[in-house]
Amino acid sequence: MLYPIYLDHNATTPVDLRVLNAMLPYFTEHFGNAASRTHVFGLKAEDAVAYARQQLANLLGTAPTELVFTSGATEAINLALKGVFEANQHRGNHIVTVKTEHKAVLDVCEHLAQLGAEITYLQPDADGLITPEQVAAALTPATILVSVMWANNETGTIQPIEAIAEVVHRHGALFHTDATQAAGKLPIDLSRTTIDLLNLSGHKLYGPKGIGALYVRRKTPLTAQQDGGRHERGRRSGTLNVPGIVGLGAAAELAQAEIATEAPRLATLRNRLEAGILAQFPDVHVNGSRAHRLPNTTNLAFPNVDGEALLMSLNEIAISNGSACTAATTDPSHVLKALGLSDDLAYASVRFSLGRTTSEADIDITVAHVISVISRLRMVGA
Amino acid sequence: MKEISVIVDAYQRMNPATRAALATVVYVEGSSYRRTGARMLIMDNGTWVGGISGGCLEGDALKRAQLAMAQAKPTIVTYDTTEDDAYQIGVGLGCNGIISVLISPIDPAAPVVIDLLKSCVSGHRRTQVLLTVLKAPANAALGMGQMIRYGGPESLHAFGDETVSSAIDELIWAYVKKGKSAPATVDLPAGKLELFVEVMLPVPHVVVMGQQYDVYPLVRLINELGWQATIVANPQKVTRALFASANALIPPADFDQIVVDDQTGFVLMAHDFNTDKANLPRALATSAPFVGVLGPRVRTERMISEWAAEGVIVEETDRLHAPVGLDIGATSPEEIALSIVAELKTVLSGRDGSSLRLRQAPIHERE
Repeated sequence: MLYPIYLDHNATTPVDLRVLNAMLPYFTEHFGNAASRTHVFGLKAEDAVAYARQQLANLLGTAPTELVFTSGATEAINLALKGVFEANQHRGNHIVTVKTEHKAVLDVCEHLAQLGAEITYLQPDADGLITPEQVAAALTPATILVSVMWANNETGTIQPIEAIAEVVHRHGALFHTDATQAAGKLPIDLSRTTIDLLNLSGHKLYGPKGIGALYVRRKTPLTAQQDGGRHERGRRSGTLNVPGIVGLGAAAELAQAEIATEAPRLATLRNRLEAGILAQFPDVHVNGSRAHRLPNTTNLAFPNVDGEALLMSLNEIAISNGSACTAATTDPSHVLKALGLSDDLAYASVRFSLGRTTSEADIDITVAHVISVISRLRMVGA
Repeated sequence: MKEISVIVDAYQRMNPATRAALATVVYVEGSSYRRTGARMLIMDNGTWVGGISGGCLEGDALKRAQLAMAQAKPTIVTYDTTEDDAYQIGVGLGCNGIISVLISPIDPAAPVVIDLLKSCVSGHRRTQVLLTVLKAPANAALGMGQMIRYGGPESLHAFGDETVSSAIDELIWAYVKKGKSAPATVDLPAGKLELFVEVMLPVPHVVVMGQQYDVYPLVRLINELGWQATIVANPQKVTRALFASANALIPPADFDQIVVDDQTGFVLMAHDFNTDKANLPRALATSAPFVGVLGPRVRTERMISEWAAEGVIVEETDRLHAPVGLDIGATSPEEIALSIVAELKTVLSGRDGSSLRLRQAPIHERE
């Protein structure tokens, strides 16, 4: 199989071989059910889950008991938002979020709106940022939850999460953050914040697909959205995905060990990519904040080219525009639209997200390829 | 046929470093813009020529082709837009049918498919039959995406099982008789062999008898359609441009050399009464299903009566179209050319040339 250069790490990442090796015995030899209390098969599995829970707790600066394993970020977000709404109906029905959230948050909010929730969608500035003051202004006595993503999947824009959490906390509402893109890429220490709920996903940090987690601060009122066996302290029933959990734990430990060297390495490569393209085409612009951004992500808008032709022509690299979606039709990215881009420019925007396997040579090939494709497409259009 | 020429041409002009795949419509049910045999050549740099639909499926086919090329493995994709499913490509675009597309990567070291297609458009006016494997039992001699050109029963031995050759042969002739391209299934001892039997009739051939300036737009239009044009004229009287765009230029003395078949039509447009009169019985003496004469009806009637006075009976047959052309109100030479080719197409397809909105049956004949 002949693959292009992979620059779509915000969509998913390959499982790190070290992670895979940690997981493999839990498919075969150590196949026990972590809930089996009567034999060593179960005890071994339970032990592995406990170990992985601690590994993940170390990455996030939290207690292992505050972590709930889920099938991924989407399920964790559903549990957080629906669970908080259901458990806090007596306190209010108002939820505050942002227009640039992932659909996993926006679609759940839409669902809750049909169940009687009032949703406020904050408008970010042209850089994709919102301010703690904006959040404060949106809070009402009925506000039960504020959900703001830590780092945006499309632009990499990092919100001032700790300050926002503080504002929300002082008001007495709960604060949730979707940290699917931030986890493993940014240092996170939940013990130093007032965040109540945080979700992440295994496959975004070189772990397997099908596993994720929700951090739930102690004593946070949350109603389970899946019943049947009272696994995970009754917050998420269902037999634990032991190999997946082991993989997520191993991936978390690796991310924690490597973040100090990997983040600056990726930032250097990302800047090299950006500089190479911008030097050739000064009219290309970077979507989202450049100052507050994930080190691995750049989202570039290419004026005067057809977006569809652009994506199909960039065949030597795997990139994307907007988040991977399941529908057959493609709409322009709601994130870029919220930043004020026209439909044409949103379609002609490309997200490059680098990762552990990205080399300097990859970046140099990419720059040359992008320059040649844009030059060709602009010639056709002229 | 024109699409195939365009594809062959594009492949030959392609940068050698570029990889390519061929997408072929092999099955259609219900309505679709393009029919079986429609093709597009997809290059890995995101460009393509030809087409498999009115634009709704090309984008998806492009992605499937990227995967097929990366895996060096052919695939068949079926688009079913008969059910209202928002997650199905093509829904919401007004299509309402099922279409299957074979996507086969082309091996740059041995572009057999391109060579075969090229051989079908080499200019010989005969019906060509291409057989493409859609599904084959394991270990079959030819696998999915592989193609042969039918050249008599022996050519079918390529399938590696001589016992089925006669069955396939019969099948081919049934399809040729109908002029239809469609998939067919043959039982092999090892399992079912599914073939796309593609019947490629010769393109329409127009014999233009005339040398005035109105011949030029007619020949240009014939070219645009991918048909063949033979001009019967005095070579000294026409310009180089006409030589270039016509497939053949024949002096009137060599009239008998013209190859006439059931896809050939004559157009008499000399703008000279005596020339058209002389050409009329000669054209009608051929087996061509269409002989058109430019000019008012009385002019042709006068030719016939003058011939009768000279003892030559010009038979008035359905094949004679005078005045030539469909009644579309054409006035300029370009519009008249359109009216002429439209009438010829109508006759060759056995249609009546009226508006599609008046048609009760589906636009394309169904299986």
